[in-house]
Amino acid sequence: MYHRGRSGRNGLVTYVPNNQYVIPVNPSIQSAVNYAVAGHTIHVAPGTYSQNFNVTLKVNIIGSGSGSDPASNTVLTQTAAGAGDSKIGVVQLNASGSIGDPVLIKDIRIQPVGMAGISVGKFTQSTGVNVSHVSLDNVHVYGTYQPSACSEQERGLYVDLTSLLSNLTITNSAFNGLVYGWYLQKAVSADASTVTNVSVSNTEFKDNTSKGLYAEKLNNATFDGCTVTNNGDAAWGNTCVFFKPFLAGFDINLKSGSYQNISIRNSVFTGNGTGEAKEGAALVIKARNDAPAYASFPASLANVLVENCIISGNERGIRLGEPDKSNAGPTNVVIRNNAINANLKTYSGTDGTAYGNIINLTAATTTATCNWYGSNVAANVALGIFGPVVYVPFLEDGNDGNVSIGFQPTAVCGVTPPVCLFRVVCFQQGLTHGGAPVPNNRSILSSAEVAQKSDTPPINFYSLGFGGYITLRSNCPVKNGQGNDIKVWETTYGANPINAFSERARVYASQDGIHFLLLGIATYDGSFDLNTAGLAWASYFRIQDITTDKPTNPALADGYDVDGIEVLNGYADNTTPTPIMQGGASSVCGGMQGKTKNFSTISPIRSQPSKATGLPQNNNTFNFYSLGFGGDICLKFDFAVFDGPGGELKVIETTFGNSTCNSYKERAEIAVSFDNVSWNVLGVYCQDFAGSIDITPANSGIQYVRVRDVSLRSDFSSNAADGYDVDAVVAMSSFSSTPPCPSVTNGRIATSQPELFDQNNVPDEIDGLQIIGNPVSDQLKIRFTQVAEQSNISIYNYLGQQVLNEDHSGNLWELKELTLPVSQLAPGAYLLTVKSRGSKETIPFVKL
Amino acid sequence: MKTTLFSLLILLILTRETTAQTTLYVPGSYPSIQAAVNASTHPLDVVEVAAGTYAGAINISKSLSIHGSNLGIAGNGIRLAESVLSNAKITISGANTVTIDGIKIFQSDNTNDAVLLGGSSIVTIQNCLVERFGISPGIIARAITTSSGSGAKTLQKNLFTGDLSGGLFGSHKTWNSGIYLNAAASTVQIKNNVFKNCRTAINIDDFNAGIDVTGNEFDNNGTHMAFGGVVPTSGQFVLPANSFKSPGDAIINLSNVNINFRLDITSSTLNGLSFASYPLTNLF
Repeated sequence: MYHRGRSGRNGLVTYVPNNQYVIPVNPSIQSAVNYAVAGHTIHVAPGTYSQNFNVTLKVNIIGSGSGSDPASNTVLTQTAAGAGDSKIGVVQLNASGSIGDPVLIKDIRIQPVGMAGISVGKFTQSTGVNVSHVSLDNVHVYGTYQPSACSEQERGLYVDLTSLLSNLTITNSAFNGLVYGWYLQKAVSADASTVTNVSVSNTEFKDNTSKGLYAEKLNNATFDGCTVTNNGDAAWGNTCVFFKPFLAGFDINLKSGSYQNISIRNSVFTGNGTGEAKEGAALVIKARNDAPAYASFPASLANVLVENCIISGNERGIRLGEPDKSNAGPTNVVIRNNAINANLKTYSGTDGTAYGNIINLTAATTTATCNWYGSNVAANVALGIFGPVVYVPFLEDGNDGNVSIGFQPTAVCGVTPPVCLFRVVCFQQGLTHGGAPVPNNRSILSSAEVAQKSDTPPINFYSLGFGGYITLRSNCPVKNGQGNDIKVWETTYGANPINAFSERARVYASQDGIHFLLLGIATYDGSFDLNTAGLAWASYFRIQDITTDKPTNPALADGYDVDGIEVLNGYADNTTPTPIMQGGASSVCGGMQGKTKNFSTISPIRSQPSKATGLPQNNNTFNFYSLGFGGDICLKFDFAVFDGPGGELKVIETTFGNSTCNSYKERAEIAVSFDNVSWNVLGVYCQDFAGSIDITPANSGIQYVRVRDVSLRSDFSSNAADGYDVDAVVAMSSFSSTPPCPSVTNGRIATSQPELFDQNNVPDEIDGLQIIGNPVSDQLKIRFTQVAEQSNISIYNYLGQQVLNEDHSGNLWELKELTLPVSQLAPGAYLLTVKSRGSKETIPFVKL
Repeated sequence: MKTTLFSLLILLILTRETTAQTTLYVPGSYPSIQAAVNASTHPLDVVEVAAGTYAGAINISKSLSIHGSNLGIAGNGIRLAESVLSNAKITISGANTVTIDGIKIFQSDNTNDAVLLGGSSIVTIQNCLVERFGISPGIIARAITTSSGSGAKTLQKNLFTGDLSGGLFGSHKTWNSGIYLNAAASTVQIKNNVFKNCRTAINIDDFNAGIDVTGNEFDNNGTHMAFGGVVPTSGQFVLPANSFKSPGDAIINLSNVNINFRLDITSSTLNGLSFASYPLTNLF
């Protein structure tokens, strides 16, 4: 502190020209004002000042902060008793500034007790003070948070009956815990006083026991980024029966005059007028012209804008007009781009007027389109609207693009969102158990386009037939969201048990309708996550029946019945394609290289399996993988290859020169698999085979191709001969944009019954139980599909003694791969048994 | 007629001889300053005090000058061996003109006013080193005190300083006040002094337009300047340019001023900079 005073004395030091410095031990802001000349700045040190002061000339009064701690803030406290006049404010405005040079009050906290914080004139009097160009910056006015006993004592900003306040700018301020945050009073008379040209931003009106703002005169006013919460709510227990019915956030109740242009933007109104307020509301705007009280000096208001606000959780949302008075205005009211919802009645009485989000009690029609009303169903929206209000179109969601600034809708207003639906783009129906076409009423393609999610007749599904498939395309890209993204609904009348013969289908997804990735197997209904296939979105879904046709099935049994697909996580906005290696196999999934004719190791340059992936080079460079005599390689596609017209696969071999098979007999056996476990051999092809290989309907949906050299050493003279040279394996369908769809008409082409899961002649109890590699040495790798959340795995020796017993858990129908330690087992034959929910399967294996 | 003229000439000669200005040397001609003062007969007499330490009170009720070994050398300048007046309370009274220049006034006892200037006296104290190392803490010891009256006072180029070991407040061992203008002094010039390590550098009661405080340097005093009086001071004043350095407590203490008292110190500096360059937290 560089100057000191003594309590009870005064005096000021000027350090900087035109600046005064007031300290709390020498407490006289008023004396600084009195000493100052227009334009001076009065700096008020941190501390508590129990005084009021009258701003009688244009000065800047700058405190040290608006917080509650006087050690670092300037806190003005005063009581009506201390001030000697309860009709004035702690700060009395009696001077005007000018354009660009207003009376400035900044960084001050005002705590009135039983009086106004800032006043123009005197409470309930007609002083006719005329003040203009006033700026409040970071001025926080806090009352005592006491409900009024009808005395209206604490008012943050008060303007009396005939006083005029114009060009008022308020920023970063607060009017909290008072009876009224603002109270702008107007006489019903010929008096033309008003409060005009008002700009309020980033300012709070909170916890005021009656109203955040009450204005009987207000013109050309903008409130931007304000917070209006818990004014006149039940927590304050307002006991004044006169005030109680009309508690509100903002109550603009204009009297005697022509007013215009009131805008409220980017603000939040919550928790206002709740409890026992008969007519409580967040925002009330009225221009009183109702007889008899206001007919002689009526008020009108034109041009009201409420936009980008959140108005929710109040007794009512916005009410226009006085209840039961049929006011003519306000007129030209536009309410747009707000979230106005969940404004629900809490008043226990039944005598309140209409409730809802917008209540227009005036004769003028209000435009309130493009707001979010808490529902995208018109009938529900209408429930919250009362009176002449145009509210359609309304926002169909309440997503807020910027939660820190009112409500910034992300939904597009007035544009009907696309109707997202599935359409069949490809199908091939299988046959019934009896070998006949599926009946017509179970073959209506459109029945698979919408999921009724019901097993109730009439028939509203599409039966795939055994081995058949259907591809559905969504016109909106399905989003990969949290958890499962789609649910495939199957229609099964009754609760059929889940067993090896359950109706099931493989479900694939694709972005382009060409490259399909396996999502999993649906047994009856099934839910799938696009993440399984690494897809950010997908538009095509292929459902392929893999139901095992039980021998005892009735003749009409027809496989998986597609009810439809339900989208669980909505639709994607960004449809950037997920990279897929076009055409060629993407990775090596196994195999073993053979030897040269004389059983030597093949040179390294010809021994890199990855050379067989991707697209072919189609030239005679060392960009291939030599299988060696008897060797093989497993290649995997990133997508599923479906059977279609003609061939689907092309295997490219590298032969230096153009030798024919007659002179150069490098040959390979081509096999395919959808799971890298069960393989079907398609045939043997020589190196000069230039055609495409048909995977056949039985193998539709494969992702794995195995190329195995079957060349004969005796056909080659050179000892360095090393068998078939794989340049690439490509899926032919990838080279065209046409989905591998044989027909879009229901041709009912029969497909052979797949038996891909059957490893033995015993009907499957445990879906797809496999032993990978048999005999085994140290580890027993098994694979099966969970038919229940819990499975038990045990191993028995040939004497029937259990040598291993383990429990495993997992998701229903999850494909499980387990490695069991068996190194401790003595060489010999063993039985592997998997049990799950009453199902059981046992298969043998040999321990080496 | 000739006789008459001769007699007048003799009278004039005799008169000049009896009022001639004299330099009185201490301790060369007089054992003490007070003895020299007592012997002085001419208002222009000079008591010249050699370097050394001199005790005992000094009461001056006639016009004269006292010159010490540092005549003409500012109190904070590079000084010679001092002529030290130790615990020698100096009292100047009557409507006399007195100049004290180039001495060191040292105090360790509990005397309230080391130099007490009567209201009608016309006094210049300059180029003095005024120092206190009190043996007792918290003593209201003032280096120079003025009384109300019309006699002009000029206090310039002195250094007021003291012992810091007791701090700058209740237990201080330095000057409680460097200069204390007690009651309504009419014409006082306090110019180009240095106040360092005083409890309060200057206490001014009844500040008025006749008090000129100019060109002084205030450094590390508890309070640089305090204003007030038995009757709270009123009025609006502009303090001429002075140089303030950071105080122990306050630059300006408005202890006893009226509600109307205003002091404009915008011409001064704080640590060499204008006050405008400081944040509010420094200025409150």
